[in-house]
Amino acid sequence: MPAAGALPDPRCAIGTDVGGTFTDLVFCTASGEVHCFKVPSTPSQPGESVLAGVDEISSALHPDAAAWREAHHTHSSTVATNALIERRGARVGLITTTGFRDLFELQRLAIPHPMRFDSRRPLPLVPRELVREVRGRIGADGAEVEKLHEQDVIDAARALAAAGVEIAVVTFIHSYRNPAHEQLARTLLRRHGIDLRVELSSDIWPQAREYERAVLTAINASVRPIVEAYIGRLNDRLEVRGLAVPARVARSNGGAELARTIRDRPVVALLSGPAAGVAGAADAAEDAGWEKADLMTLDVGGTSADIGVIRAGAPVLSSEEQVGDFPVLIPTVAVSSIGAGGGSILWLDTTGSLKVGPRSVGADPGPACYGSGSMVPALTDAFLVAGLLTPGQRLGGKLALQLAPARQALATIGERLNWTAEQVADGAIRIATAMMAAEATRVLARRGVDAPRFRMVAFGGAGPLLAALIAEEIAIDTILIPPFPGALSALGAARANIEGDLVRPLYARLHVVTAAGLADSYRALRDAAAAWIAAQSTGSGVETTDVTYVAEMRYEGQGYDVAVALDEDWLVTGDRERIAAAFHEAHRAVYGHATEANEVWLKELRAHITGTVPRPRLRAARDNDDTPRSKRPVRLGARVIEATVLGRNVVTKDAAVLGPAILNQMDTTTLIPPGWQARLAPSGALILSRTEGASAPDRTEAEARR
Amino acid sequence: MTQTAITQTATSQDAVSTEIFANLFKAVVDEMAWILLRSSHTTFVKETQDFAVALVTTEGETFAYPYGAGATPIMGVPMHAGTKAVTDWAPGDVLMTNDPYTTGGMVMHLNDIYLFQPIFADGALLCFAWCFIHCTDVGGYAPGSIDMQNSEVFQEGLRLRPMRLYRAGVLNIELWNIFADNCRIPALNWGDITACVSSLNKAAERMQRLTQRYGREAVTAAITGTLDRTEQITREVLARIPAGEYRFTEFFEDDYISDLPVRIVLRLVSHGDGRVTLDYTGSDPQVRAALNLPAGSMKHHPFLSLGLTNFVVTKSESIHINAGIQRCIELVLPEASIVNARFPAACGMRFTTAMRVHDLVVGALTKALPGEVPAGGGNTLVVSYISTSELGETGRVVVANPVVGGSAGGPDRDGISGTDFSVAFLRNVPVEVLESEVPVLVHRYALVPDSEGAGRFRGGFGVAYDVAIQHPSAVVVMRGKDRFRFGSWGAFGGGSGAVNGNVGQRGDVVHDIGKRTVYRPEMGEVIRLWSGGGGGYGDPMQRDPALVARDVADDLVSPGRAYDIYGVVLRDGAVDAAATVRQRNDLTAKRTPPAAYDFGPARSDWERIHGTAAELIADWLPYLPAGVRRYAQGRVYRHLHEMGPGPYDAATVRPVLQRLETELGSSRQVASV
Repeated sequence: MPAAGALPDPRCAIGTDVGGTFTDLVFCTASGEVHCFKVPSTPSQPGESVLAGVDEISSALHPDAAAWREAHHTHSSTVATNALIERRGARVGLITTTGFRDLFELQRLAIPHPMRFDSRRPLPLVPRELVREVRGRIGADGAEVEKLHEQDVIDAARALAAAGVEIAVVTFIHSYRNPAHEQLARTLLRRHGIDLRVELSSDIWPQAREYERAVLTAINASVRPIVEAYIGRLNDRLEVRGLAVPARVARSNGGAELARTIRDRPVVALLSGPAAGVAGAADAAEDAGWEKADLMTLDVGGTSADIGVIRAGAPVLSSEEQVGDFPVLIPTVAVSSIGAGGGSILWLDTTGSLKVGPRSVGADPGPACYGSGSMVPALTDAFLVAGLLTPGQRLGGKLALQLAPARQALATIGERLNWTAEQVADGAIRIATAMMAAEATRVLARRGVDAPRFRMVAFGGAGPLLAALIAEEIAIDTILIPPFPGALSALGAARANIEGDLVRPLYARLHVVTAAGLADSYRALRDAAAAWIAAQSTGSGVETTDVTYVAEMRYEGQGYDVAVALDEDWLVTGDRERIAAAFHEAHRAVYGHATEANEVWLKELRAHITGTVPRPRLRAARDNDDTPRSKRPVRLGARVIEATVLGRNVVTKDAAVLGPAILNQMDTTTLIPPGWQARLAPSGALILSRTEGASAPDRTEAEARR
Repeated sequence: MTQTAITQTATSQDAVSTEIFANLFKAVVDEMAWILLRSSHTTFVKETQDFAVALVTTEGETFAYPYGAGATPIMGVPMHAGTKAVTDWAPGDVLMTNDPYTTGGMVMHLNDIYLFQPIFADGALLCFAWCFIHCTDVGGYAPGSIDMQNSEVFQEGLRLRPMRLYRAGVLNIELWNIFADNCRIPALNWGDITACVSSLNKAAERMQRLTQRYGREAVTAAITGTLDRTEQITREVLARIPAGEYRFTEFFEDDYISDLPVRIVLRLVSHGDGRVTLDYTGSDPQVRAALNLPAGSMKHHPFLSLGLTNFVVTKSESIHINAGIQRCIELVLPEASIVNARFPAACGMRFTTAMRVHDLVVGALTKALPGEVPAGGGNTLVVSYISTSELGETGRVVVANPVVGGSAGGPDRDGISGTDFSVAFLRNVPVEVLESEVPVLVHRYALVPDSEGAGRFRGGFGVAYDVAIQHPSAVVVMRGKDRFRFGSWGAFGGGSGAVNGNVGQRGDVVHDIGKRTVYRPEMGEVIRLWSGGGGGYGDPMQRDPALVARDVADDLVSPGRAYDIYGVVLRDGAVDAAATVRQRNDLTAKRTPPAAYDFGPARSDWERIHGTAAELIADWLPYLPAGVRRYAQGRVYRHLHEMGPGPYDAATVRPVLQRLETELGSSRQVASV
């Protein structure tokens, strides 16, 4: 726990991250101290845990009233995501173009596991019963093909209201090009006094692809009442506690937005937790002096390993992320998740092959080493039995780890293989490592990059434990462990800038786009960006604003776009040649080839807006872990080695710790394998790197087998 | 699972290293698939995922295959015809072929371009990277190269036996130029080839890195290990099929050039030890349409064991998908038949046959393992594409939505609407994307109410796709049409689903397009294409009335159908429980108990009339010269039809066979029939 009595200076910042089990809070003082807090989450009353945490900060640190009043505070949470996944949202109806009633039944047609007879599409977000069709049609060029039949709209809305619908989503074909019909529908409802809230797809995110846009709009409608209530309650009660700066909410793009505006578009914050984590990792790298770094992030938690990518210091955004069963078109920090974490179950398939996950023991009962009586072996049991964790150690404030039940649970597998529990543990760790390494390769490949050019930032409960093992697999040489690896999402939120995204469709072959047309689209985006940031500036202290432009482009015939960063000048002057050249180059970078002779499509222009806010600078922190230095045998790669075990605070700038070693701290454990060393960065982060001459693979599979 | 089996196989760290390498190999093929899917240029790859990648042993066995991207049905096709095509492989070579007949059935139609690259480690051949893409056009008679009515492979485009497109990394431009000059969209095809080669190069790089890290020996051992392990899991699943023989029959209602159905029969033999034989003896001869599957008399072939592959994958948790599955499934294929066609049969739409065979295998499984597999699905795939060209400009070919029949109900759940298991990887084309790329206006893309096969677990619904063509010189190509008369089949009391159809509408005038492949619409004409539903599973009278009420509320099942077929009485949308019990009792009393299988009226009628004749003809045909069999079959039916409406008994059929045999020549006397 943090030392009591520290007085925060003005302009301090609070970041929160509400997870399924715990809520993390960080409090950054203007002098750069960071204090981490962890309180149980309160899923039945979202927001209560944040208030409890804020109270805890207040009573532990006694901040003076003036400083407290000026504290910035940014919140990330899974409230909306959980409501969506558990389908607890509002009763939503859909009004759509005649002929397209089955948008949500058919989705994108494919099923999740095409070879399995028992695979089915996810349950539609809006049942067919609550979908109404209306006549009227816009064409692909935005021109009206058929007038909107006003009576159809009125009838549809009345029918939905009568069926108990709380919010009607309106998605018309090609409304991203021309929102007139959608807007008219909203006007009609108002004019005819129909008591039904309306959500227009052209307001939420005007991009082509009717299913994805409709789903995005329906998700927004579905979680909106819950988020409104959550934010409303949070705001009021934080104000009562003296926090006078308007609350901000972390967004899925790694930035933040004012809570009062996010209420209208909660869909932009669905993946705020993982996004804030990657943003926090980017910050941690910058703190450590890694300017504009290319990084892979690794966050290993209880049920999954999440991998993200940072290019030139900024989290990579994607418009192909999923939330639960649904696609999310809005730019979102790309995080790829595999079902391998501390709670992942270890099991044998029928041929006696050892498997890790994807099923998990969950927080309750947890792995066998929690001592709750469960005998289901999990990856954390393997960590403990292999000697990577310390018996009696407490993980994230939970029960002390018990070796005996962990050994016993692994022995159930070992018996069937004629292996010791230690051999099972080692095997499971190697498999988990390979799974994560394989996923990391995939994730990096999708950005057209290769691991060896990258460095890694590892966090989460088990990230620092596996980081070096994974780095060896994919030939990464340097790893950063942030000072507060267990609270990185909360810290990322606390330090988030105001960030927004806008889109404008073009959907045309580049050679038919005119210079004037390009300039028009650019001006429209620029003006919209200015309006957006102006609305955000009140009360958030935006200091500078930066807008970057990206074009989504592809070759004729292709099915996927490449995001091409554009120079603002090219847009102003309508320089199509430069744009085409940038596209060929980007295509070559990602896929290894380009076909310059072929025609190019320009699909969308996007703007990414960043409003910088005063961000707390962090001072190197000391961990107060009091692990006495000791030695113990650790099983790694089928070998038993003597590792030094010590508290993280013994690592200093001057004295590197050589592997094999295990560093304990409150919220994580870091493994330094043989051939690696750890030293302290001025920022307080740990830097793991290979010792001289160890960058080649240090053992072969054949050796390991002996 | 017994203790013994495990201790036999897991004697060392193999239990771990196989799993580790299987994951690493999977990452390699995933990356290959990603490059190919994202950067290829023709519409079939992007819109219908008609491509695949794999890592292949030097003997041609697939040992790693992605299962999240690309076509699933081709997994495990034996590829020694590629890996053994040349003996002087060098790093950077890329072998190219699209010919079924010089590759012994490895390639199955000309649109599929297969590419192989050898991967070397420590100076010796380690394995191969392979990929294929369905090129939208490889020349031939019709845009897109495939017309159902093609009768010979020569009409279907340019054939290339295995040849090196690259030698040690250097492009063989002369070979490419021959190909480019003989297809309609050379620039896009070249874009595809560059995407393929990028993907192969990446695989080589990744595998080399693996061998550097772990050593060639360990990688080689893992390649064998992962195949063996999948084989072992497959055997364990297949051993659940009780030893014995299980027979089933499937049909094409016609062969596109005549009304004569194509009959495919299967004898599934389970040996009880995890080996299964699929014997197609008795299936009809190859036809003079593009339906033939040129399987090259292979002993293992994924297109002919797809139903079993899907069964194995369904029943085994986290199996690594590779050719180890096919090792357990042996084929017996009649010569010059629809499932094993001989040169120069047209084979453009052989996938339609693979789909029907999928249902055939599933049908045999419903007998072998009742309660474990679904009934017969709508399982048809009409891929329609719109080709426009203007003078002086390159033509454009854009794929519209795949229109797929609904899948069948299963033992514990309803079927899926608008897709089926042999093509469940297919995604639809957003209307907004389609209309931005080609001058059409989509009027409807929606489910077809009341199209489901009724059942305790009903089939999925079919879809209707209405497109107005707004271009004066558009050609619409719609291929893969089937189940226009013979619908999906229900099992264990479940009903058959509705059938597919295709009409054109000019103003208010509607006319039938039927099963034509190439169609030239008028400007503004609306093409209406719809698919049927999947078969039902179990007696519809046992369907949970609340689920029926749900379907009625969703306007998917009409109240009349709920009442007549499901026996459910609704009042203001709610189930009237007492009236439902009465109605169900009433219906049950009136009806004959449902048959185990419902093949729908058209097929049932045909079989009632021609069933005996079909059996006799099937036994008789093999004695005729291969080249005349389909012709002879047609003649027999024509003679029979001239004699009266049927049903035709053996005494009627035999003299007809005798007469024809004299005329056409036979290898034996008809007396022994």
